[in-house]
Amino acid sequence: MNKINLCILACAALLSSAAARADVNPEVSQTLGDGNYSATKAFVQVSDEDSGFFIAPQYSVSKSSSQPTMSVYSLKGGMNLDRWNFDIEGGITPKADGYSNKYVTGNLGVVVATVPETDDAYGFLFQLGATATHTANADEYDAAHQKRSSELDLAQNEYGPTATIKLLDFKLETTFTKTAYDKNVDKTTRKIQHIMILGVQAATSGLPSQSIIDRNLNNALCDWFDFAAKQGAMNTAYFPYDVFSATRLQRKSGQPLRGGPPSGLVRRCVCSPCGHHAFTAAPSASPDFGPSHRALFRFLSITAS
Amino acid sequence: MTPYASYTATQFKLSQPTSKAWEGGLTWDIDDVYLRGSYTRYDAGAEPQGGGIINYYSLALGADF
Repeated sequence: MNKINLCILACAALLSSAAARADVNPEVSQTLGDGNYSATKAFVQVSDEDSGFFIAPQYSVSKSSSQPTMSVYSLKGGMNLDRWNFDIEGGITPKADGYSNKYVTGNLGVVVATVPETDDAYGFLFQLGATATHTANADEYDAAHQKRSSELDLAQNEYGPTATIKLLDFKLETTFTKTAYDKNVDKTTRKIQHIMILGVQAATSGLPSQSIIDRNLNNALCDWFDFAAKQGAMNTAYFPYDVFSATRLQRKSGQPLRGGPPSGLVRRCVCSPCGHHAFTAAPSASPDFGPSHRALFRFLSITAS
Repeated sequence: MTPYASYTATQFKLSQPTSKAWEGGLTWDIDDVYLRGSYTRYDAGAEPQGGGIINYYSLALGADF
């Protein structure tokens, strides 16, 4: 039994014992792309809400017309607590077309400032952290795909700060990394096979020197409208199937609304994309109010709740 | 449904142009099961697969138990 099968069995045993009393999140994904690119990824995350501990084994395989079939086996574990979080991940890429790697990566985040979310106030969170990755690359070929006299062992170290801001459930995570190598790389060095891009398993890219990632801009629009509704600036929101329509109401006398929509003229509905409540008024039931502004956003599809 | 987006930019050694990746996706929750679709436009800045721009389409099926 090789090391990979032993690792899979150990993970399965660990997960089955943990799954009896924990949250389980399995996922499988398929990615297709230009150049006959295809990738399949599967993982299962088991987490314990009480302790904040989680563990997640993952397997992915990808190939394209310019890349042989490459697999990645990884295991990630960590803790998510109120004021800080950390995780460690290790993985291997078995040899394919003369290339292989082993890596270990760690992330640490510390909450610098936070305001808990309540029924009357929106939450705020500002977190700073750091990330570091060590990858041991091994390649039998050079950039011209000529076999080297001896395998090139290239150590790659990535490190940098991370920052997370969460406001109104609008969450922005930014990661900046610098990369250093233990040897001088030149044009004879074959491009590193796996550069991770969110949503894509990997893409043949090059020898990175620095990188920046912004992600998780989710819920930005609907939370802004939710916030605007609570402030009374926007009192009507419609959610048709493919159009987000927002109408700003004002008194027909011309005075804008302040302090939220008057009771009796509004009902609450759930904004289905984010699950948050927004004030919704029925204009026909409101003879004292008429629309002053209307905006349509066709780039975001929202289904009526 | 929950929308999300991400942006990744990478600079390289050896004077290779900067690569950029834009991704947009939507997650659809149905009780404990979710379906996520995403599109990624990757400008490799060079010629990794015979062209500078590569389009990726991804579909994920998951569950939270």
